[in-house]
Amino acid sequence: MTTKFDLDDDSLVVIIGSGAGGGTLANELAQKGIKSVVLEAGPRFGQEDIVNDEWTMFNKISWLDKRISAGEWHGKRNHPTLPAWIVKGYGGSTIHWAGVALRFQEHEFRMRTLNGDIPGASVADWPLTLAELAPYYEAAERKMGVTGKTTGMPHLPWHNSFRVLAEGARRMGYRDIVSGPMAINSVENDGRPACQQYGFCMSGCMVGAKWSTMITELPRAEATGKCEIRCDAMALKIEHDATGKVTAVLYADGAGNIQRQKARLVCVAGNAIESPRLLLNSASSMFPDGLANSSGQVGRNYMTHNSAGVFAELPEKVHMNRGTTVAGIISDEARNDPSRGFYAGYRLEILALGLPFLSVFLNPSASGWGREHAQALEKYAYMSGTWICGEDLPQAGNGITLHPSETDQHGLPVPIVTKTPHINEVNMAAHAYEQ
Amino acid sequence: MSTDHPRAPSRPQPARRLSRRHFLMTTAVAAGGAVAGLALPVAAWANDTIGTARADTMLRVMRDTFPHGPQIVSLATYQRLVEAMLDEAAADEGVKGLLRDGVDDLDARARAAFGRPFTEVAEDYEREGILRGIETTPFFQKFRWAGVFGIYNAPDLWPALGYEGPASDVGGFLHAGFSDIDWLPPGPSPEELLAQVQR
Ligand SMILES: Cc1cc2nc3c(=O)[nH]c(=O)nc-3n(C[C@H](O)[C@H](O)[C@H](O)COP(=O)(O)OP(=O)(O)OC[C@H]3O[C@@H](n4cnc5c(N)ncnc54)[C@H](O)[C@@H]3O)c2cc1C
Ligand code: SF4
Repeated sequence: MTTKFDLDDDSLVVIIGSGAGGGTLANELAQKGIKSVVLEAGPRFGQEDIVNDEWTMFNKISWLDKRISAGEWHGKRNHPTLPAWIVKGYGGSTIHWAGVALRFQEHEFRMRTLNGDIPGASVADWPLTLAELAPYYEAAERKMGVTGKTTGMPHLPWHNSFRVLAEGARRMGYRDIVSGPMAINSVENDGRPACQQYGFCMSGCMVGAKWSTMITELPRAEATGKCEIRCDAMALKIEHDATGKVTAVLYADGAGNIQRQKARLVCVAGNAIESPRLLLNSASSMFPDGLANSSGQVGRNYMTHNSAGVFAELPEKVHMNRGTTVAGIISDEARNDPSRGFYAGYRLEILALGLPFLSVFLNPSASGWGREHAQALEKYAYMSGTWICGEDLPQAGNGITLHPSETDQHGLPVPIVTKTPHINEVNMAAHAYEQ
Repeated sequence: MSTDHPRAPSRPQPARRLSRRHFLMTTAVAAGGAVAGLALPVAAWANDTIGTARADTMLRVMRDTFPHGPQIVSLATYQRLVEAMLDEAAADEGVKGLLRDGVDDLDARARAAFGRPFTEVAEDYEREGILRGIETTPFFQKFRWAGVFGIYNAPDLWPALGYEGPASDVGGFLHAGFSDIDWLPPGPSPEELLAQVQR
């Protein structure tokens, strides 16, 4: 459990970030006997840190270091210094992810071929097919415990708010209405219990029914003795030798002291904002545009979701707080069908927030107050939430850049996250609201 | 950056410091429909940080930001939220200036539009209109976030607002009505859910 590697040990794989990517890699390497050290910027978290309280968990686990939102999207106005809600700590964003575990669809590998050139977007085909990836999906689904055919684990039972959404969808003529696939146990599995419908999935799962590297991959990697997860260790710069090969990672430890961890290999898994930021911050005289950036693509084509929450008041009580936050997915509109007026597709998913979060997310702009707002919140028990979750198009101008003068507590330039919706997203959202 | 998420404070302690600031108002007044919007100001208190009149205006703003009937959010609750801001102002010149100047600006706007100070503008929608004009300011957002954390994140107010809070004491809603509505068809049975995932 308490393996500690030496700073000068240059036989190690150094992994930056302990979330979905880094945590999974650490365990895969450890199970094969390959030594690694994971540098995690945030603190160590465990099951005992999870409580059913939305704002307490938000404050405890979120990445709140300064960032700047830019571009023509709502985030620039509504949360100018919090462009994305990401976790900082042992387990990364898998602590608060909702657990929806969808695969790519066949058509999504060939969007360029199917749709041709889409002005303003940098769409490309994948060099892979769904069939080639299928065995890897199956392996991941087995490891994560995803409900569905791979594991034979049934999808989760339908709770009140999914029954409401499903009924609405049925009346619209939709048929692809399923409470999965979710990386949430519906039965005991992998030493973890079945979901008890606590309903705080996005604050972290108190019982461990939802897969998260915090409770699976990371402790298992540590148990092999081949992996050290070093928390409160913020990677600042990746160093390389005269041939351009990486040699070490500079990081700030919990006391703010700069340390140098030697490395045989470095794996960057710090999420969509911090990974490009680190590569850009690692610029050297040999790589003036940042590491791994000969293409000039690092930090470009940042994609999120084409996303909107819709909350409806029903004639009778729903109690949407009772149960899994997102277990309910309607996929009839997920196809690529430009005759609807936009490329790519979207899904309708349950979004069951508690009152503390809803008081903000009902209208996250500065206008989220007043008589109407208060009256809607008084009807909390009657409300049900739906999340419109669509694909956004990659655009070269959307991405991560470094602020020319503002720095964070480590003296590193603050990341600017720029996002401007493509007209395709505007059209898709209009269609979804209509539905 | 006016609308950014501040950190949620730890949950407010019930009714601190009421005696120090000595409310002259009685609970009977609070229950008497004062929240409906007329008869302002409803509370009087001695405040020497930014003056009592300004404190009254702040109370009006707080109630207009998230207006609920007294059976849902009591006047004492709104007062506590304003008190907390005044405490902050007493300890921090920046906050004091923000509140003082914000109230004065609000009164100037009310006078320009209605010929009277903000608390004397009678109609709810008229006051809301004035506040819409300043809703993106740090001054106003302070009230918005105070309400978000002080009203909707306050467990003692949840029952009246229809929110049950967590079910961690009973081991989750699986055992507490997660799928209990009877006015819509039920979801698939366990057998049907299992059949869906057979190869
Ligand atoms: C609320 C929410 C719900 C979501 N729900 C779903 C869902 O239902 N289904 C789905 O598929 N996806 C979902 N996602 C997305 C999913 O969580 C992420 O895509 C995924 O976690 C990304 O994995 P990652 O390894 O790239 O980064 P993360 O999981 O974010 O991990 C990155 C880690 O790296 C650390 N780090 C960053 N920079 C440094 C540095 N310089 N030095 C050291 N450490 C560093 C961070 O602290 C963090 O712990 C959700 C996301 C959010 C925010
Ligand atoms: S609803 Fe289920 S998955 Fe979500 S937090 Fe609760 S037990 Fe965990």
